[in-house]
Amino acid sequence: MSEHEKHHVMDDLLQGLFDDELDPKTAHQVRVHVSTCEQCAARLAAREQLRAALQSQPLRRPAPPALAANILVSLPDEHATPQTSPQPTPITRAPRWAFAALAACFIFAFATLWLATSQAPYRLSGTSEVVSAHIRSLMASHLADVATSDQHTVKPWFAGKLDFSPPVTDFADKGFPLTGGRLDYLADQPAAAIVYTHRKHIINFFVTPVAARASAGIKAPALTEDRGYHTIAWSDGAMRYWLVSDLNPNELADLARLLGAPM
Amino acid sequence: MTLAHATNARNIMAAREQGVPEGSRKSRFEIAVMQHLDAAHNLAWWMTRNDHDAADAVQDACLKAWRFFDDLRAADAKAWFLAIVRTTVVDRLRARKQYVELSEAAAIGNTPPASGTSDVSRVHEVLAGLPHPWREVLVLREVEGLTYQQISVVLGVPAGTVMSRLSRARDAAHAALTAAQEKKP
Repeated sequence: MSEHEKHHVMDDLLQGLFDDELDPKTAHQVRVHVSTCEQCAARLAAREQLRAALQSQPLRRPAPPALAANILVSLPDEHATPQTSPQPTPITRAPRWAFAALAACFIFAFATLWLATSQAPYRLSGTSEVVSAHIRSLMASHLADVATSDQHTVKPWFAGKLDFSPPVTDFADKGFPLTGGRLDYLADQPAAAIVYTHRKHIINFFVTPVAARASAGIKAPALTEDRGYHTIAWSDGAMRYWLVSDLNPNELADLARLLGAPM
Repeated sequence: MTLAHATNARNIMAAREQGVPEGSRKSRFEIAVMQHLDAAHNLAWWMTRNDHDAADAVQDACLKAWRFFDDLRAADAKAWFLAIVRTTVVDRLRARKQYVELSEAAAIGNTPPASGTSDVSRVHEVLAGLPHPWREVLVLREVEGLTYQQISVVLGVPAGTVMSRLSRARDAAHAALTAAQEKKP
């Protein structure tokens, strides 16, 4: 590509950036380029200047008020229009009750949406929040407050810190040694995080009691993937459980089964 | 049910509340096309720079749109309608040899700098003085706020052409505006 062509391409991309028409990745690349290229920065500034000038004036020329009425009157009659399609679209042919049904659909949809959002903490903590907590635990070298493989040390350690008693069992004989435990915070309440390892993969097992306002009930284990981490979430009606790891789903499911998930 | 269907149904319900006979071809036309009349007039006005010609062209375009309304399958009725308006206006300008092509403008060298004394008239003059292909793309983007995708439908050119044409148009408008401001006493 010649210098001239390169310049040409960058110029088009500048337009795209300015008009907010680029995908985020390209936009970022162009922004990086602009930050180092005086010429492009100047062009972008000129664009801003022009837009400001254009927007400072009432340039729009809307239709005069009478025009719409005049046009509607001048339209030839429907019967006189040979191109009129023989059948109207199904939606306009629908009887009155169909609109009532449609309205009911809307109400149902909104109600569902409202219910879903009102339980957002539950849903959110099912995936991204739990994964974020997992990633945080790996980054901040804050994996365990109590680092021991002795379940009889970990369980009492939680006792004074939480108002519930999380299940702590060492599965070293099954390939999932207990590494420790720590306090975490999930879905607006304290959570127990119990740490297991499996072939160098770190697994966080989060436990919180089901909040009073959230819908109680048994939830079958559900596997989700987010940012390359797998999460298995389930609930026995009293507690909610999440297993998060970069481990493959099959082996993670093995641990979930050991922990009592009805897999 | 798709979103388009939902919007359509909502519009029709709104039309029913306003006493428009449901489902008549004309009421559907009003909902889909006539609501963009201001945008249509704005485009036609900037192309012709004349109230009478703009209204006339828009009326003509509406008749065409009415005739071909049943062909409207695209989701974007606004872009579809503006494309008809634009073709109508350009055909009329060409017939009167008033359409300024880009090649002529390039031969002239530059866009005439505005001579207006106030900021309002200067910006106005700069935009009105641009050759038609640059003027239309700037009006559609900066005044009507259309997306590249919509502009490419209206002008019947690929989005890449929209992008580079906008670039030239902005260069020309900015140069003319700067020249005008330098002349300012």
